[in-house]
Amino acid sequence: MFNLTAIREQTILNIRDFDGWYGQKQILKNINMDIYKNKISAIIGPSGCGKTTLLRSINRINDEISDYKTSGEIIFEGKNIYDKDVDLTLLRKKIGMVFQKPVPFPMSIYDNVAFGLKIHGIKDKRKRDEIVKLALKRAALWDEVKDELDKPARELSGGQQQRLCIARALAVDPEILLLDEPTSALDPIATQKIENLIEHLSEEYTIIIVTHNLAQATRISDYMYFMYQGELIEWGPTRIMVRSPKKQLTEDYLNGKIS
Amino acid sequence: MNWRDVKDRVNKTIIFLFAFVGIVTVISLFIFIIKESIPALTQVGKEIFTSIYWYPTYDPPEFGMLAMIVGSLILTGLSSLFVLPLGYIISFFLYNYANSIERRVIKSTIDLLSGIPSVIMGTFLFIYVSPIIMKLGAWSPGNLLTASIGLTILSLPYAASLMEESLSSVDQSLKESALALGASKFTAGFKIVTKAASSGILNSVILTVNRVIGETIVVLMVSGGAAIIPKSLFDPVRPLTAAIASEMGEVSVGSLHYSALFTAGLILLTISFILTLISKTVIGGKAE
Repeated sequence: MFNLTAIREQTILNIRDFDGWYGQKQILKNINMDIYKNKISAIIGPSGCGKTTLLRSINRINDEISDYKTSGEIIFEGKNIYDKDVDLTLLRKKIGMVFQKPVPFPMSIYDNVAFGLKIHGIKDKRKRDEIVKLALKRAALWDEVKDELDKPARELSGGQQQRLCIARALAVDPEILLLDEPTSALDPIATQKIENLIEHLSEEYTIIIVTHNLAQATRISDYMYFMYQGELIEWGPTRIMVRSPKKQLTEDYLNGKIS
Repeated sequence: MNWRDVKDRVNKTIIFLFAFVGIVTVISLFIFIIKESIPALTQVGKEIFTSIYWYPTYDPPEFGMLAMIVGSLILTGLSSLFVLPLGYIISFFLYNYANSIERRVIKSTIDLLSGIPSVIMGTFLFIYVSPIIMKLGAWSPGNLLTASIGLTILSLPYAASLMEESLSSVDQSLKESALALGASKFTAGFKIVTKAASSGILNSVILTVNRVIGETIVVLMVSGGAAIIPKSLFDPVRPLTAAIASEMGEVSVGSLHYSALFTAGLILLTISFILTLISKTVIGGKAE
């Protein structure tokens, strides 16, 4: 028997009838999906299918694009994040994001991680030091940088920079972490490290990752969401979806017939 | 050697010669100015830099340029004080807050402003702004404040669009990373993007200052023209550019006065050369 209440308790994010437009062009078409707490959810699909736009809608960073309009709901903590009275600063504290390219701020390693803490009003230096250390440890970067926290972050390697960006996002203690193709600019070894890290992090955080690397999605995700031309075609537990997709389109994508 | 090689070599030579024209021009300009300044530099000597008495047509003539050098520097400093913050604020608004309509309106206004001939700006200032400044207490229709306003208006489009370009060239995801941490638009734009764009902004600063120091027509029309060291905003000044422009047409070629005006040009050229050098050094250091 399907226990609806049990499932509801586990979900952290519910997307309902969600549409997105760039000007007149509809990018997201009636998206309905749930994100499960402390799981890794991978949004997959060919380029231009709207997966990144959907991800960027979850922390409303896509508001930055001036002609982007949405309708429908994304419910987080019982509230539509598109409601008028939503505090964006608080929303983005709880839903962190890491971007495709590693983009350290033009400051030291320490200041990069501490940046979010200052925004959210943590002024006590000792407490800040502690959180920075913890965040860097969680991002598996501490051992590599502990002696050079004052070094400019740009001097780190690409993979280290990306882990720094993850540490920076973790420092403000989010509940959900959005990852927008976080390894597409990295070499295989750095990618491997980030993948291990993501799996590790899902014990404490809910992870939503956009990737067009199907193998990566299969390797690390618990749930998979397949999008095609702005529509969510199919979603479900990764193991089941990979083995027996319900829709022909999904099967074609998994078999590499569409990309 | 076949025909194609010959053609290729000919093309290459022609292109090289044309490309070389710019370098040759700059070098010959420098040589020419230095050569023409030598008589004044040797015959008048250090008095050029230490005396404030510029009476080139008296008998005996005096060629002290200190007042004009100081005038140029003060005028440039004051105008920069106005134009640089203002230019940054405009660029920051355009980059960070403006929607597409505001952006279009401001950008086309700036383009329009940058196309206004400086002689028209000078006339406008002389007819409309000067009387107001005089009511405020200036005793000469041309004065430091009016000239600074003119220079500010003239160089504002330059400063604003250069700075906006530097801000816009910063990777968009850097700004979004700050926003995604909960930073306000202001913090993201000011603390992160501006910092990341700092070398470009510094370059804009130098280019703008360079432009201000070399501007001639407006200062010729509304700076007052008295070669004194100004003690207040309402005093007239005579910057080096104005002296060259107004006197060059009347000197006899080869005279000491003629040579002294070239010395004034050499001083201007040196200042702008140093500024360019500073900006190249700083930006070069940053890029590494």
